[in-house]
Amino acid sequence: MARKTAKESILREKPGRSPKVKVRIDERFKSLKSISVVSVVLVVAICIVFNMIIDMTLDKKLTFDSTSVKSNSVSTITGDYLKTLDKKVEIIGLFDKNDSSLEWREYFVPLLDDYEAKANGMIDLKYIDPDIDPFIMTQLDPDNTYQLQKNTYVVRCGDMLVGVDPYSCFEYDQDVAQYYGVGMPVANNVERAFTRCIVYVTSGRPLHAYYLSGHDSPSHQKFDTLLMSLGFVTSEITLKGESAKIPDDCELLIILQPKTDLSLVEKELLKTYLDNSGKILLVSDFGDSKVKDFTNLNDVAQRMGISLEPGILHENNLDNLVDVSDPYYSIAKADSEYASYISIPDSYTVENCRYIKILRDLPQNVYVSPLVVTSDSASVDFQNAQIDADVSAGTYPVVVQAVDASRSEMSCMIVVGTQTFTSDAYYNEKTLDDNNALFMRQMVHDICPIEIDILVPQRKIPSYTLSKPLSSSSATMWSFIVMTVIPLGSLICGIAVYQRRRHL
Amino acid sequence: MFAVFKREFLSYFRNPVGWVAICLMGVISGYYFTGMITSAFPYVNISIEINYLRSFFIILIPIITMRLFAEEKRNGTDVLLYTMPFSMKEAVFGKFFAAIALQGLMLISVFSHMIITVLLSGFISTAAWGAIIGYMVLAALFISIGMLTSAMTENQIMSAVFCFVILLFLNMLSSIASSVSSIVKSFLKFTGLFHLSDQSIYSVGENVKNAITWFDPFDKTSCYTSGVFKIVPLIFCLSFTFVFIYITYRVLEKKRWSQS
Amino acid sequence: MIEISNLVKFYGDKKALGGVSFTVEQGEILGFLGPNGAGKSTTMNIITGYLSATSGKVTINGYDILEQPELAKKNVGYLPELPPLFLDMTVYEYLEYISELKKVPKSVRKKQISDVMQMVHIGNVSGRLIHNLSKGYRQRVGIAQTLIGNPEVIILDEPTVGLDPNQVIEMRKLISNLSKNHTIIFSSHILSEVQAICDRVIIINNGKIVADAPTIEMSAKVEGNSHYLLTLEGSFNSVQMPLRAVSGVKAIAPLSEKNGLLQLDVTADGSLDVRKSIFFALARIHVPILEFRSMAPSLEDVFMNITAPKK
Repeated sequence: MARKTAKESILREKPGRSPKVKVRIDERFKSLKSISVVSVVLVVAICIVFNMIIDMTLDKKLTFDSTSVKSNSVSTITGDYLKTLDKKVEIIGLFDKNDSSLEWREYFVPLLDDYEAKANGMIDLKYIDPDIDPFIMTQLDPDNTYQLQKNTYVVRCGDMLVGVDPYSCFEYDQDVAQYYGVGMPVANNVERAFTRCIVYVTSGRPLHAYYLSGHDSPSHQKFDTLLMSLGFVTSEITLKGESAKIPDDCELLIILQPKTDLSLVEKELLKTYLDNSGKILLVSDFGDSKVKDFTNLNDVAQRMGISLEPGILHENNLDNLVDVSDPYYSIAKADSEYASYISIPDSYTVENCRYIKILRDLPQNVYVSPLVVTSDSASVDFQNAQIDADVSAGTYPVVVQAVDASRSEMSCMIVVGTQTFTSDAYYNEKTLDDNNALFMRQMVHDICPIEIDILVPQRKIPSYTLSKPLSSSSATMWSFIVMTVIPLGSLICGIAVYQRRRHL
Repeated sequence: MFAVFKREFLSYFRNPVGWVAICLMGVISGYYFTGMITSAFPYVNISIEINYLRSFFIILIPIITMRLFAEEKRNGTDVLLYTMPFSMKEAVFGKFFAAIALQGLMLISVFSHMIITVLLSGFISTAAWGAIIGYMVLAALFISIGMLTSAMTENQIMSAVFCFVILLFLNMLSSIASSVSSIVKSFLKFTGLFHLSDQSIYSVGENVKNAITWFDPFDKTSCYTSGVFKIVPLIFCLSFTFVFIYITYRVLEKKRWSQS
Repeated sequence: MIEISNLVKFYGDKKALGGVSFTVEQGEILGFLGPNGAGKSTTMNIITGYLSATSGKVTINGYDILEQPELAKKNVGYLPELPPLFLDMTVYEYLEYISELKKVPKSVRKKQISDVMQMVHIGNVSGRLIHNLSKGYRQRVGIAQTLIGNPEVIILDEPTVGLDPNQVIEMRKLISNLSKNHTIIFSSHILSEVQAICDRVIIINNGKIVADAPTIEMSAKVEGNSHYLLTLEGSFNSVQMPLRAVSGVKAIAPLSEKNGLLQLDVTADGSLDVRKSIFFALARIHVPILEFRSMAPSLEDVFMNITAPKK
């Protein structure tokens, strides 16, 4: 038997119908019409309101991670940490959340949603596209200290702020990178990066970098800015007198173009510092040619297997010269080995590069590697014409890194043979978006990571590449099968059915 | 309901429509799949394939929904639906589920790709299944829209065109939202209405944009591709599917009492 | 069984029905007679619930078609003027679909379909595509469709239109057969067809019922004058007097006279059967009758006759 619809029952119960047939039925049609219209409007309205309520209340709760490696959910390590979070942290994505051209979005947006969900309201996640809201950049960083970029994230707590570049949160497959020129990510450090940043900004403990003063170093405002954007607080330090010491919180000691040699006290302090996992950045270009005579400074360098020589690098490859008439003003390249595990630009402007010699007999546990090098046809000019026997045309380092691995936390010394990576003069001309600045950011970031006690394990990115290599002929075969079996099959079936039925 | 479902579903295969739809889907998805396995580093990511297929709703949905009611009206067989002892709801649901079943069957090409992927020792993430569910739910919403246009028009072509236009509109909803928002912003700015500061004009614009984007089903269901399985978008799509089915029912019922 | 009261239907400003009321009793065969555009199809569409009336009420077995449509429709099988056939289905598939729609229990479905097919003589085309069937077969499939589910009332809208004479005769036979078990309403614009089959005739013109009476009474009303066509061997002069003498004959008009053959149109009083008297009158003067045909009055005549006395 048919069910009585709501409409019918309303009709049947409607009181006070006129007894006159015609009028009664006219009213019935009117009521049918109004019931129909009203019910449609009502259903639409209810549906919208219902969805809005659900959207506001349950959206986060009813979100599940359907990835195979759970890359959209925070690990228990981060989860436990987030539970204990007691300061308000803002995470701001400086891009349009719906911009599908940002391929990395899928590794960030859902994961950060999970951060927000698991943090009991202590994390405030926002997406603001600086193209649409031009105020956001100046709001976050009024003095442009941090050089915030579009399409990056910012993690902020109180005054502490760090930027996160999405591309630096992955490790890349080098084969693919060489083939395509772009990397295919193989490991995902997104959670690691963000958990670190949150721990860092909430700790209230910034990194400290000290400039060694007393050696007529030039001004360094631009490089200061760069360091601040990496979370550093910088100050000057004088190592003179008996009680002089390098502070315990010194993450990085910077010696910028010294015009005088170190004192004995300084030498000893620096050596001890290096013995205790210290990190030193030494910049010395050929403009300070006397450095060879700076025996104390050279002692410190030689402790890390490096010798500062009184020669200047002469670029013989004309293609690498900025100005053909000036062989000392050239373009240097990233060392290929170094570039293979850290994402840095490929070319840098260098000028008046000091010849930095890597000692043949390295101290025990010391490893020295070039980071930025000349072309393979550079040579060295010595001003006093005392040609060193080892010096012939070849590749010479411009920036070298020396590490001492004898302790669990390695000590490290970076020697930069040109001032174009640090000087105000260079950055005033080229700004802090220059390749040289990008290199310094990555390099400093690499040697002075934000230290936290929480280490989130790296995650594998599920590789969608076929695990068995597919030869091009079998790929073609499968393509052929895919493109023919179902489409042609269905067409043939359709025609067969049509032909059969047509004559029935 | 089952009777209508059965007739309607089989009718897809008595006519070319069903076969053509499956063939089209096979070609479109096969093209994408082929692109993946013949690239320099062959890979297969079914979620992305599904995401790609979403942009073809605009063609496939009108094809499978245009005949549902328009054809019956043209042949005079709609009389049966009105004069048989059953409720119009059953007819509407029967036809709806028939179209859903065809849409499901069209996914056979995607399933075949999954099998090939397994044979080629590729990786099928669980996210792919989430993506397929999201795809079907979105399809349900669009089929209900297509069915409504079919019920409102007298011939198939009109129905297909209307459905196409609506889907096109939904496809463009997010860009429409941005343009409306920028129009609102520049309007407020140039007229100086309400004397708002730049900051608040911006936030008004953003709210307008968000309000419009809230209705975008493509945006709502885009999360499934990246392995985020949300229930709320499913509820959104299914509840609006129900709304469109209900309106279809009301449109058809109208004939029973309308005066013209 | 079926009660129709005061149906009014407007199509926009055009009035299609202006207060049609009648009832149909169980087992009746009701002929619904009227010229094209008189409102027959509209009435039938309203009875079956396909269209709505502007005002008025239809109840079938006590169920209002608008308020309890499912119960009301359960008792009705309807064949509209354009049979609702799916051309892409075979006859069997189609009838199976209909029986599913009508919720015929699965156990009796098969049997019922084959019974119905037998009844309307379409068993031999059960596996054929409806698209490939002739008009007559399609019409029969349409009727088969109404019979599925064994409804008490069968409503047929112009079932004989477009059929050739043989098919028309078959169709009439079929309807007569059906009348044994069903109440039938069937519309036509051919008077003789209605007279031949129906118990009762309703004549509708311009959306109004102009006559509603049992067929026998209707015949009398209709046949105010009856016409006969005679072909004789003789001359008009020789037969004129004897024929005029026959009581009831009102007028004689010669239609043609050649080669000794005479064609006559005899107008007689419709209430009397004058055929016997004419035969004997002519036999008496040895004029052989070669052809004696009773001419059906045209529908126009009928309306003239029915409406004339009222004026």
